[in-house]
Order: sequence, then structure tokens, then C-alpha cells
Amino acid sequence: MLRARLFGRLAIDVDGRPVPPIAGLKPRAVCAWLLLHPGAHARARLAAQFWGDVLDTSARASLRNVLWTIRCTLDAAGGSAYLDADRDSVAIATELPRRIDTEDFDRLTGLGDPAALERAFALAEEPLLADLADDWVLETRDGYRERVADLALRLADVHERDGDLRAALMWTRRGLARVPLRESVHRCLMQRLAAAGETAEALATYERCAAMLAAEFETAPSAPTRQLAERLRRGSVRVAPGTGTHPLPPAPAGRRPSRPELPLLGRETELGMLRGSWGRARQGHGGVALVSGAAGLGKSRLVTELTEYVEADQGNVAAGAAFELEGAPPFGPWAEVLRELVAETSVPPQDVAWPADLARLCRSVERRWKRPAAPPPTDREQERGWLFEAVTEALAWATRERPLLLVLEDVHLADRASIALLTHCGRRLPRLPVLLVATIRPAVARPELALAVDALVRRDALVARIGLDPLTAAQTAQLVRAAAPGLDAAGRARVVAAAAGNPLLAREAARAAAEGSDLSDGLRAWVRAPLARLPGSARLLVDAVTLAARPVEQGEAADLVGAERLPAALQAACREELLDAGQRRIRFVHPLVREACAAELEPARRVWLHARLADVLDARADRSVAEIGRHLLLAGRSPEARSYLVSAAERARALGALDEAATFLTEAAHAAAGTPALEAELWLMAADAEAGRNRRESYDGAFGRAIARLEDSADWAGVAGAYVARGRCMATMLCYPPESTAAHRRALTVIDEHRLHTPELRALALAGLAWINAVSGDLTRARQLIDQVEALPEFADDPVLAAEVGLARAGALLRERRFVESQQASVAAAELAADAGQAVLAGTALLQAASTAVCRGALHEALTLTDRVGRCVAGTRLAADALADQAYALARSQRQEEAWAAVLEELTLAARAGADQEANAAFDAGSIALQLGRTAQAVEHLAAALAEPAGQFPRALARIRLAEARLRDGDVDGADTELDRLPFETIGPNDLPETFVPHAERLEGLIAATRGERDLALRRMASAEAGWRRMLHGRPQGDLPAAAIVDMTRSVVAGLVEPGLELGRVLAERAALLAAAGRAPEARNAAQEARSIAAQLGADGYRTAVEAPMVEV
Amino acid sequence: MPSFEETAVCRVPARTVWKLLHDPNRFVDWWSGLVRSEPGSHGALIRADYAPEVEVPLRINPLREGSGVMMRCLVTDTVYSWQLQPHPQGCLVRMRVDVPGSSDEDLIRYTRASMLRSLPRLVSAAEHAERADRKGAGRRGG
Repeated sequence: MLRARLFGRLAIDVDGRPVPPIAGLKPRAVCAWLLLHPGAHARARLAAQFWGDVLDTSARASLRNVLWTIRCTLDAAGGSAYLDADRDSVAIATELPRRIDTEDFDRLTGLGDPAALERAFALAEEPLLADLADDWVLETRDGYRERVADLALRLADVHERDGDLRAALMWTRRGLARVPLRESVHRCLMQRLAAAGETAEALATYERCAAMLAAEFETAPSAPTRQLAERLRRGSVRVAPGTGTHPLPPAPAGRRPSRPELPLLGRETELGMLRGSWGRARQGHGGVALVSGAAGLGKSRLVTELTEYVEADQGNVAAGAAFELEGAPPFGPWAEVLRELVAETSVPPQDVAWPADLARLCRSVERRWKRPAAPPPTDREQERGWLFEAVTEALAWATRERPLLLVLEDVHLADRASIALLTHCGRRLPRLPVLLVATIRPAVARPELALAVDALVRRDALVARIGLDPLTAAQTAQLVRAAAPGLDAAGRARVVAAAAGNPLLAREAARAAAEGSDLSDGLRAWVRAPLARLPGSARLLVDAVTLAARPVEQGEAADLVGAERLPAALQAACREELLDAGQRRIRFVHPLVREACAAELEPARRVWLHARLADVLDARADRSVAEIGRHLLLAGRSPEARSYLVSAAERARALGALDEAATFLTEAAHAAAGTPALEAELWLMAADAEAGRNRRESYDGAFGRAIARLEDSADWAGVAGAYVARGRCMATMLCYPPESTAAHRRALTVIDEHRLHTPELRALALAGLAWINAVSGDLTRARQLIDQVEALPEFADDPVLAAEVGLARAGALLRERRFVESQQASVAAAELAADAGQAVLAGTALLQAASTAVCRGALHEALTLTDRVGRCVAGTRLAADALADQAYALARSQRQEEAWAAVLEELTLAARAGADQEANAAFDAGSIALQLGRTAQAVEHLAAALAEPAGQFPRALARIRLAEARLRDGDVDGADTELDRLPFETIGPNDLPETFVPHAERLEGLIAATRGERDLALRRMASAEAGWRRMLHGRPQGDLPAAAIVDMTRSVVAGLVEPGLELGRVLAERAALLAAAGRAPEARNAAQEARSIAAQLGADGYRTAVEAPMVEV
Repeated sequence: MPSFEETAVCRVPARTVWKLLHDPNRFVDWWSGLVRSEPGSHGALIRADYAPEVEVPLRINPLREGSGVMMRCLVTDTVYSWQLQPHPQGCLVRMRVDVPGSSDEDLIRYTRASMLRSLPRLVSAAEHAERADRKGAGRRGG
């Protein structure tokens, strides 16, 4: 018989023989899922459930490998027959004897008799699948927790009916422990306690309930609960000492009185600047104010003063702080800000989409605005764009009621994703009544922060930059006098010297000196006395906030120390000036104080507290899996930590935070050392995340570790799968075609050498090789490979693979200059992808078809295709590229106004997406403006594009076009300067560097001509002409369009080079120069050839472009 | 892997040198030992004086960091990197050559000698081009 235990950690035995732990997170999760879901499941469904974001073929290959691992593990205990898998479906055999604890739980709860219910409760005492943290596991676990609570309450009812009130109370308490936020259970417990004559305890229960509701929801108990409490009080029952006397947490609207503030000294000018910025912001001219200074110099205090000023000025305030916890969840400070903002802002209309995107980052949106989170788009870049735009929309929405002050503290500690969001939103603030104040410690600020500040400066969005210097000795002395009025002059002087102008140190040193402490001991020693004075629950609270490394929610604090003990604990910690409590959050008075308290924590207590924090956070509905994973890791519970870190990585990826995802996975992989299969699985996931970040070296490092572990375990199917994944990565995300070829070949070799039955992997490897050969290798080989893939049965099952192979075929045809067939193949691939619901792939294929249409001069078809891209993937980066293609085709068709309208639409779309896309759109706009003769606008947009380092357009080409725009705008020296900068631009491998020399020489010729240097001008033009002729490789004039060089990964604005057109243009310009030099016969020859090229090229746009400079000939 | 570096100051704007480095047709103007060069599908096709009958493909890629160009010989796997930096007198040209460790001594010796001759020739070719331009710039007539 197979017996499986799912409550607690997954454990299986067969006929009493324990099955070894299943290696790898995915195999364990799949096995647990099959045990939880009896019956046969279609492979396709299972593959989609666990590998939803990859090709069907790839998902089926992964499933096959995972099932093999499960079968081998079961076999170790003689249980392989229990895995019932055929070509179509998978199950844990139901016809063989089996006993699963969750099924026992269901059966026992169905019986309904008390003994059965108690046995069911005993079965489910531990959380379900405690060592897994997949989203489906967490949801199922929450469901079981609710069911176990209901079961306990049913037992309580039974015992109450039987007159056993003690037992009823015990079961009510057990139920409440699992659903502490359910007010009705608190009320039930109060009633039963009252019935048992324990009125004082019933009132204490009421207070716990009230404290919990205040802490969690900033709300008071409902009328029935309050009335019950009132009836209990009126019952003249004596309240036992120690109960019913705790002060309740504050009313939601009030700010908790915190430690007494000392006067703000020496910061009047800075506060004035911030108030001035606020004044302008509330008029609709917002921006970002940066407050920088070393630790303890008063950044937080300055911001607090501003916050109070803004609140008095009827402004709305939302604040967040970066976590001091290494490996914190992405967007941590923003999540805090948004939670406050959502709580304070009215519900947006149902017909706007952004709240559903915002809900992915801020769960309060779902609870308070009743808007469930939209599923993340499959395109990761798009995910980030939509998320950022949703945050910007939320800010704009919040300001409809009141102007807004946003505070982001300790941004130097913030994750990259948060800094990117700060840059994105900051650029929009000059048009909103929002002031965003960010505090940083410059000494520890990271390079990406400097780039963010630079981007804000360029957009005039940085409205104040305040650097805090140390206080003067006189100011410090004044502060010391206020902090310790009883200190004598000598003592004051010692404190002033010890503080060195640091207000925090001055205050703490003054207090320490007043208590007689030795000032040479420093802050750590100064916090010892206050820590020692704290009662147990207050010390627990301080220690927990120390290790939480972020401001703690009142509800979390209540869970940590008990809701009824929280008010007193908090009061004590605030009285000792260690903690400070805002409306909802509890935090340290200063990070340096936190550091000092952290240094006082014993290692064993740290470990215990991290475990406690993990458990408390895990029981909360708004759990952050990243934080839980981190605390579990620090508590030494690595097996659980790994699962949470993987889950955190998946969530980070869903938010487009790839840096954080890679960090989580790398940590999880390190934590898996010693378990080769799991280690390999995690290193492969980490490698994939690194590829998403375009980090080749990190990718290779992670991949190498994965392969080593797989080879150590002789997991050859795993090795082949890893090489297939590498091949795909190298062909797409990282773009190293030779490496891709090598990886696919290696996969095929491993499959053959080890005689693996992995048809899906073979299909993927062949398709990968076909694609690479089609775009940059041997075309004959490409066609052979495509034929081989299409003959495999797996191909027929996977329309997405068929679409990708179709795109490969289109690429091969394009390289053969068979434009019409290539365009048809792209459109067919798009239709396959669209039928399979793959909008991004469909959009990519349509865009490729549109670019091909432009290459062959079929501009009308190009316009139709770009329209289809826009409909297929509205609002995405692909849609922006389609608009660029459309503008290009319209400009070439002399539809100037429409072309410019398409450019403006692309700019609007990009402005919502982020700095990189905005720069790309500026490049497109500048290029089209140059084509349309809008030279001033061309200069403006191309210069803006080049100013943004994040842009992904060809920078050298942009510099060349900017030089031409300046020249045409009359700025000859400016044009020359741009050419001087050309050698120092980054050039990518796909930027066709060989085309830059003729481009540059043509411009040098035009510059020389403008300066009257005719000989030099003619020499340069001749050189440019020779360069373009070489690129035509002696192609006859009738075949000029076929000489186009196109990079299909970009819009045609950036990726299309037409040597024929360029040659015609140079000839026309040279003809004009020759005519002016009196060399009429040569001028006539050049002009004649230019006209002939224009005629061959056909479209009006070509002809105009070529003929325009020949007017004087 | 044996490698060697050399730098030289060139008294012309960087873009003059940059054009020479990006134009395979002009490699023969400065690359010592080259008898023929032209654009090819990977970047360039060259023939050297010690085996003029053999056409050798050269892959040309921009340098990942900074301004410059990297050329990899697809036969010997030798990598030639040329980097440009601004300099008060014009520009600084930094040349680095990495010869595969498995290469025979003759190839290493030949490569070193020819490339150490090539750097001053590159500088000279760029300065000559600039002088010719200035001469041309002085004449305003046809």
C-alpha cells in the first residue's frame, strides 16, 4: 500500500518502506499535486499547470523528465507501479491500495461524529506541504487552514450541545488560532467564556479582538461584538487584575503620540526649500526632491517636519522605506506607499484598466477597491511597462482629491526595480501636483541611483537637491541642552565633541551622559540600558522589528507579541526612544539605533526570532514569500527557504523585476548545495533569469554549475534538456547564434549517445538549429532541418512550435531575397500563433511581414500589416515598433501628415512605457522627422534619444542622423562635432558598422561643400559612392530593392539599410557639386544614374529623396 | 594565450582613425603584410604576403566596452583589438593582439612583428589622410 502524508512535509512510504525524498522542487510539487488530485490528468493540462510560460513541446519534455524522476524515486521503495502514466495522461494509481492523509481528512470530516472530527483535526495539525511554496500550494494550504478551523468550531458546537463547556472553549480557541481575523469566532469565544463564568477573560478576548481589528484593518469591532462586550460589562462582574486595563490601540485617524521631539536645529534653509517645492507641487508643478546626508544627520527628521507641514496644508501623504533586509522583495518601498495611497483614495471607476495591473503589486487594491489582479502579460518587458504606468495612473488618480506628498526613505538601500519605478514616475511629476521626497546616504548609493538622478535632471523633474552637512558646535550644544537639560557644561562639551555635528548621536550621547554612561562606548553601549529596562513583550517587539529590517505593520506586531500585549509593549519601546509608531507602522527611531540593537542580539535568539518572523508572516494573507524565504534561511531552515525563494523569484519575474528574481534563485541554488538534482534545477532557473537580464557571464556561470550537477547525477535527459534551453536562450535573449548552434548540437549528441527516448527534446533541438541556420547560417541545411522537424509527430501537436518554425522559414526566404514568399510565410506563422493564443508571437510575425513588405516597396501592404500588429498587441513595445514601421512607410509614400501623426502616437505610447522605450521612440521620431524635412524636430528628438543611456536603438546611426539634421538645420559646426563623437558611440554586433563609413563620408562631403571646400567635398562624396557601390556587389539596377539589408529584430527605421537608395542620394548630391564646379559632363552622368536609380526604386518617396538635391543640375 | 599590447598617439581626430579601422578596403593601407583586403560576409577577407593564395576570413565586431573594433581571424583564431581614446593631441590608439596558445612559434613571431609595424602605419595613414584633407580644404575652386 502507498501511504502519503501531505500535512507537514511530503512523506511517502510503500508497504512500510519509506520512499526517499523526491529530488527537485518541480518533481516534488508535481507528485504532491497528483496525490492531492486523484484521477487521471491530461499531460497537456499538467504541463500547462507547471510550465505555463514555455513552448508546449518544451513543457511536455520537462513533464516527461519530472515523471521519470518521480518514477525512479518511487521505485527505490518498490512503488514505481503507482505512477500510472501513458502517452496522454498521468495519475497516481487509484486502483492500487493507497492511503493519503488529505483523503482521510476529507473522509473523516464527512463522517461528522466527534471522534472522527478529532482524528481529522489531529491529522491536519501541521500546515499542508510545509516544504513547498508554489502559489497553488499556498492557496490550498490557506483553504485547509480554514477547513481545520471550521472543523474545530464544529467540535466546539458539539461539545457545547453536550454541555461540556470546557471542551467547547478549548475547541473554540483552537479554531480561533487558525482564523484570528474572523470576528464572529472572537464573539463566539466571548459568549462561551461568559457562559463559563469567565467574564473577565471574555472582556479580555474582546480587547484582543478590538486590538487585532485596529491593527489589521484600522477598524473597530462591529456593533454585535461591541454590544456583547457592553452587556458583559453591565453584568457587574468583577474584572480580574491585569485584564481589561490595556489601552486600546489608537483610533485609525489619530497619529500615535511618539517620543517627544527635540527642536529642529540648523535645518531651517533646507526645510524652507522643501516647503517651497511643496508649494509649487500643490500648484501642479511637482517633481522629485532629493535629501542626502550621512546617517544620523537628520534626513528623516527633516522629512517628518515636511510631512507635518503638508498634512496641516491639507495634503495627502504616503510614505515607504527601503528594506534593510538583504534580498528584500522587489518594489518593497513602493508597495508600502501604494498601500497607504489605496487606503486614502476613493475607488477608481470600473471601466479603467490600471487598477487591475496595480493589484499585482499592491494587494490592498483587491481588498479595498474590489479589483482583482489582472494576469501578468507573457512579455516581461511589457509587464514592467504596464505596472509602471499603473503606478503613475494611481498617483494621478490620488491627486484628484488632494495634492500628494510621497516619501521614499533610504533609497540607497532600495532594489533596482524600485529605483527604476522612481525614475519612471519622477519624470511624469512635473505635470502633477505630487512632490516625491527621496532620502539617501550618498556614501552607500549605487550607480543605478546616479543614473536615475541623471535621468530626472534631464527631464527637469529634480526640483530640489538638498545635502545635509553636520551641525555646527553651537547648534549641537543647543540640541544637547534640549535633550539633557540637567547636564553640566563640561558634560555638554564632551557630548558635543563625541557627536561631531551628528544630531542623532548628539541626542543619544546626551541621554547616555545624563545616565552616567561612558561616551567612548558609542551607540551600541548607549542602547543597552534602554533595552535592559524593557519588559519581555516590549523587548520581543524591539528585537522582532530589528530583524524584520523594515517598518512593521501593527497587525504583524500584534501577531508577534499578541494583540492584547502590543499597546503596552509599544508604549514602553517608544518611551525608551527606541521605536516610533506612526498610524499603521512601527519603526526604529533611526536606522543607526536599529543597527546598535541588532548588534546586541544573541545568535541563538536571532535564529529563534527569524523562525518566528517567518511563521508569523506565513500565516498572513498578504504574505511576502521573499521575506519568509529570507527569514527561513537565516533561521537555518534551508529546505523550506529554497521553496519560498523560488516562489519569490517567480513573483518578481511576474512584476518584471528580473534582477531580484536572479538574486533569489541564486540564493536558493546556494542553499541547495549537497542535493545535486535540486541544485541543478535551481541553477538552471537562475541561468534563465540571468539570460533575461542579458548577463552572459552570470548565465554561463549558473549554467555551468547546473550541467556539472546533472552530469554528476548521470541525469542525461536533464543534460539534454538543459542544452536545448541554452540553445533557445542563446538564439533569443542573449543572441549568440554560434553558441546556440553548439548547444543544440550538444543536446542531439547527448540524446543519441545515451539513446534517450525524448522526442520533444529532439524536436526542439532540430527546430532551434533550423532557426539559427535560417537567419544566419546555411540555408540549404536550414530547409533540411525544417523538413525534419515538420516530419516529427510532436510538431503536429504544438502550433506554437509550428509558428516558430514558420518564422524560421520566413527568415530563410528573406535571406534569399524571396521577399514575397517570406512575407507570406510570416503571415502564416502569425495566424498559427494567433490561433494558439500567442499574441506576442503573432505580433512579432506580423511585424516581420510588415518589414519585409517595406523592403520590397509594397508600402500599402506594409500599412495593412502594421495595423494588424497594433490590433494584435495593443499598447506594447511591438505596437510601438509597428507605428514606427507605419510612419516610415507613410513618409516614403509622401503621406507626410499621416506619417507625423504615427510618430506622435508612438511617442505617446512610449511615454507610458519607460525611459528605454521613450528613447527608442525619440530615435524613430528624429529619423522620420529628418525624412520629412522637419529638421528642427529631428535635432530635438535625436539629441533626446542620444541623451538617454538606456535606449536600445543603434546609437552610431543616431549620431550620424543627428549630424545630418544639424547640417540641414544650418548648424555646420554642430554637425561636424557630432561626427567627431561618432567613434565613441557604442556599436552593437547587429549595427552594420561597415555602413557607417560611407554614411560618415557623405556627411563630411556635405559639410565640406557647405564650407566651400569643394575638392574635399567631391573626394568624400566619391569615397561614399564607392562604399555604397561595393555594398551593392555589382547588383544590376533592376534588382536594387533586393540589396536591402534588414535587421528583423528592429523596426525598419532602425534596422533597414538600402544601399541602392543611399547610392542614388550620394550620386544626386555629387552631381550638384560637380555642376557647381563646372564639371558638366561628369555631373550629367551622375545625375543620369541617380535618376535611373530613382526610377528603378519606384516609389515616389524614393524618387523625391533622390531627385531633391538635383534641382540645380 | 600569448598577447601583446602597444599604444600610439595619433595627431588627428579619432574619427579619421575610426574610418580606417572600419573600412576593409583600406586595411592594406596600414596593415603590415597584407597584400589584399575587401569586405566579406563576416566582415573582411584578407590575403597576407606569406600565403597570398589563401583568402582568410576576418570577423569584425565592435568592442563591447569603449570605442574600437575587434577583429578575429577565423582561421588562426587570433584576435586583434583596436581601441580609441580622446587625447589632447588627437587620439590615443591602443592595440592588443591575442594569439591562441596552441599557435606555433613562427606564427606568434610573425604576428608580433607585423602588428608592431602596423600600429605606426595606421597612425601614419590617418595623419596622411588628414593632411590631404587639409590641403583639399584650402582649395576652394574646382
